[in-house]
Amino acid sequence: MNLKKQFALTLASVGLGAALIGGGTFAYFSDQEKVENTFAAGTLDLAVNPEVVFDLKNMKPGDKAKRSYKLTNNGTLAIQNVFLTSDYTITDAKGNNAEDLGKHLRVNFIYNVDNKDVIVYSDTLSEMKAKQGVARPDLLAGHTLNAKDINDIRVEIEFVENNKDQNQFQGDGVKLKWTFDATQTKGKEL
Amino acid sequence: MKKWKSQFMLALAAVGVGSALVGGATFAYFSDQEVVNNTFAAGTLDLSVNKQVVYDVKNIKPGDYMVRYFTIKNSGTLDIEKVLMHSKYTVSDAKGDNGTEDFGDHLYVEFLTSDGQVILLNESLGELQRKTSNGQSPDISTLYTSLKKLPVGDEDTIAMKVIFKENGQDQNKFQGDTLSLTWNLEAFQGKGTEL
Repeated sequence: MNLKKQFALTLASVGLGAALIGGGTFAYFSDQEKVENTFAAGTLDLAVNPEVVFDLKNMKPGDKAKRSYKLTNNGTLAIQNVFLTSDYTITDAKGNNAEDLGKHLRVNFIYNVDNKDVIVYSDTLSEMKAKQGVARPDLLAGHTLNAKDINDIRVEIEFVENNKDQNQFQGDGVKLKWTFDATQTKGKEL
Repeated sequence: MKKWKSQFMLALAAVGVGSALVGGATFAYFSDQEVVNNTFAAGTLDLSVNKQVVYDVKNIKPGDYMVRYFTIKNSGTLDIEKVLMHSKYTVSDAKGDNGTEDFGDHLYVEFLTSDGQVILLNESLGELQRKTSNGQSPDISTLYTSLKKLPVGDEDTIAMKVIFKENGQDQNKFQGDTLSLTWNLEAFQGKGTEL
């Protein structure tokens, strides 16, 4: 057989093979590992029992309306602040009010801290209505309400006697609405 | 007499056929053989990670952050050229109130050097997942060495910080939600070389 021809043929096939390998392949070795991660967010849930709506009638100077509430943390995250927003409407029975009755109603928030009654906040209703946004009072007053904790809070609303004629307010009524805004504690490293 | 001649001729003829046959088809030759043995043993590309779970955090809130570490190692016989980190997650929306918002857009990942100083990467999980589906998963093997390699036997410790970023807005829709994230680390060989 023609040795030269045979040799040439072999070379050609080797060359073709090499060209195929060089040109079109993406074959590679690889390996994979899996890592799993879970991020679960907590819940911030304040419950106020009973619901806070005052409907004050038949009050006279010197009267005190007393209420008791339970602030319950029903969530999984600690509550740092409970900001209070106040709103009220006055029913002016005789349409004769020259003043805002809210200026004559004083509210005391009484907190039980270390078995002692402490007035954590005291203000007139008209002042409280004006305190919005960053000026809102914090009923927790620097304490933290942890998950599942319950805090008893007592409220007194007093129609302040000022030794002046307050007859303009005879027969009037106040509808007071309070909104509690609970906020989280600062972010921290976990 | 005739018979002997014809017999002889028959014998000759037979020899002739035989020799013709013999002459036509034989390839008798001297030859010798040598055997050459060749072995091609493929190397192994083997990435190992020292943890199957890196983050398992509960009760997180905006502002919280978590630093965790894990180590990747080249346990094979071939150098690893790159390690792509593919990110894929699902969100379980506790109250079904997330709408079009993605919890993953509020969790940010920072890669730190082993002394916790320089931030090498700062992406939200949402961005990382989008990059993965665009085939642009980051190569975490380049973050620590200028050689861009994880040579045989080498270990790299990856330090990460995940932050639930406060954005100054109401993020209450994410209360009680869970984000489950899988990182698929894919190691690749280097270019073919002459051996």
